[in-house]
Amino acid sequence: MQKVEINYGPKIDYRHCNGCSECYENCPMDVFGWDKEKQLPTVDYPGECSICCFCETMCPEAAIDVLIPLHQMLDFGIHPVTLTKKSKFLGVD
Amino acid sequence: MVTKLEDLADGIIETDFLIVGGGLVGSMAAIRAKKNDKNIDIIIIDKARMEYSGDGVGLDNFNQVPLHKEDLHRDVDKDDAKKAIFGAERLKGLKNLRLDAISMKNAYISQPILEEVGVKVREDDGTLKVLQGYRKGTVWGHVEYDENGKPTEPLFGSFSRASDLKMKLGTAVRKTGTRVFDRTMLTSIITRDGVAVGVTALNTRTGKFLVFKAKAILLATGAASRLYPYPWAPYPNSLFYTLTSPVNHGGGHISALNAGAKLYCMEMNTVYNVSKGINHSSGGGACNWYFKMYNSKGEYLEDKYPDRVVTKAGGMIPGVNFLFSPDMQNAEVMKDVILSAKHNATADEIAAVYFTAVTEPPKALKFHKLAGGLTNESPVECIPVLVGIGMATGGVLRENEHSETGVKNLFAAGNVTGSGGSHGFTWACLIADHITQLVQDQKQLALDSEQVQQVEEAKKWVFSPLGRNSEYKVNSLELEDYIRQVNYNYVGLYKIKSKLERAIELIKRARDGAVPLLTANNPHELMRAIEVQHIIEISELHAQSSLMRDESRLIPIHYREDYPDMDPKWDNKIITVRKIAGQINYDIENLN
Repeated sequence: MQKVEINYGPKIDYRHCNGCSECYENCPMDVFGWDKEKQLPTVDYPGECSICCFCETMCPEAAIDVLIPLHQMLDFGIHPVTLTKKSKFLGVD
Repeated sequence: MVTKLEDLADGIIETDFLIVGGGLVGSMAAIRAKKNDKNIDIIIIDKARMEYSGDGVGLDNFNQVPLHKEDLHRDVDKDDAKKAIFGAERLKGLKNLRLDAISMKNAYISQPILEEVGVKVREDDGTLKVLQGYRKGTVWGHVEYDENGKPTEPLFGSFSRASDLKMKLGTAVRKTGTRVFDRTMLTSIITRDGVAVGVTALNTRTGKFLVFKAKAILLATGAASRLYPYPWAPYPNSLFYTLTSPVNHGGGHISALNAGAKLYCMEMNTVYNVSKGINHSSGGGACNWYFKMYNSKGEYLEDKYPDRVVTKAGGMIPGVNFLFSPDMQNAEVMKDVILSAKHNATADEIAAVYFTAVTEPPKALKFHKLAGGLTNESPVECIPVLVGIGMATGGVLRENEHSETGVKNLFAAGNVTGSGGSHGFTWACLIADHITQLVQDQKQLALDSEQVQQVEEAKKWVFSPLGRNSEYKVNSLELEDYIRQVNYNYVGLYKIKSKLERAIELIKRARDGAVPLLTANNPHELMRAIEVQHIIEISELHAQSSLMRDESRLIPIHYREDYPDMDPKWDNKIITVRKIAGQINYDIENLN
């Protein structure tokens, strides 16, 4: 049997993250943690993400994609493949 | 040895005016009070981050705004107006008319403040645009006619262009010099002889236990949003996928109850219509707010059931009423697939849905965009969702014209009182005006040994799950999931005596069996442990009140399968809950 993993919530692309801490400071559900050594945000509680997507839109480096739970994607008519194209929401191909 | 307050708290902070919750109500109250008197000391504590907390990101419309007739962009015919009056009448028995009248009279009070802080509420030509998209919708205000039979005031309130409302309010609050404590969760209200004198709070990042002393306290903690699961997703993502903000779990409700305030209408769980998957108002926007709904036979529900715009039993929202037409036992939505007719929507209607979407968390636009936009070919399914207690009625009972609770100097407004949106704005201003005066005339009451004991008990309770050393450790989220499944399966939309009794039994089992084993490893998890205990308490009140009201009213908000009709004996009656000497007491009272 496959291990149960949380397959939604914020995903940080550390190639772009500049450690500004906006996501960590502002997340309503407080799903982010802070790596003091690296001075970078971490995603500590992805299961508590409400998919509000504030972090994705406030990130100055567009380094966060919030993944939508599969249930909601299928219900709303979003093809899962859509999400593999990074930041389609932001208009970046 | 006598315990000192200083030994219990990691910080003791004194203020004139303490606001619990930095949502629309809390932010507005701070700005208003500081406008009245720049020297008043104000503190806002917020469990999240003030700028991003609460139910309102933006606001798509103002209810009850008394516009002039020339502001009307579209005429409303008399039949619609009649239905609207009927719509307003239905809530009479469950809402305090005296308070509603005060709210109506002052409905415009917050708008100048919003304009001052840079929120665009007007069209470019300076007019206010009347909310015209609600399909034959209802209005909560009272309607008067001129000699031509036209309503003298618009029926639907006004559109606002306040998509960035919360950010602008937050910025304005910080500019006033209000002290904001983010990540700070209310844990109890401290009283002295029936007067609120302060609160205890937990910093959910540092674990610091704080005591705030205040001359007056405003409870603006939002709805009890986490009573029901999002039923189409498994644990864990059913927990925080709520329509109103999942930050708001009902902590204000239970803290007020413990302090001696009354709660009312706890049986009334708001039911809303949303688009399946998105679970948000702009999804709802696509479900008969702006687009018609149709069934598998291609019948438009609003044409098939014209009388169900509002219902005799008093369903709250037209879209919801259509979903549950012709009646609860034969409801269209339970027997068929209901879709949203966006394919034949007008450009105006599509614009209106996008307009709603931008006043919601960014999720809304993201979903629409990823799904190919509103003009794509794939229809959206319309479903009802159980929101929790707060948007319509139910919550902390306000007992006088200042929106004060049964506890002196403890005020409440917004969804925690069952009256949110722009109504909350109005009350925020009225309460701020009152408190500005109040704090000038009175001194901070001292916290004596009895209050210190309250703080000690609160601290003991708050920290008990932290690092608990029990053989079986209960996970807060798993317990919350359980209790919300109980609510969904045994209370829910179709209430019946035997299932309600079973719900109460299971809730007690969770409270007595699982709560003592709740375990948290850090302050964040401690927050979730506190929340689930509150949710369990609210769930019990919800089930007990539902059992007590042996009739159906505001269907589907309260529908009893075993008592499917409205019973006149319940007209103007509310169920109130109060804690006396640690025991819950239920009463039936006349509200008006």
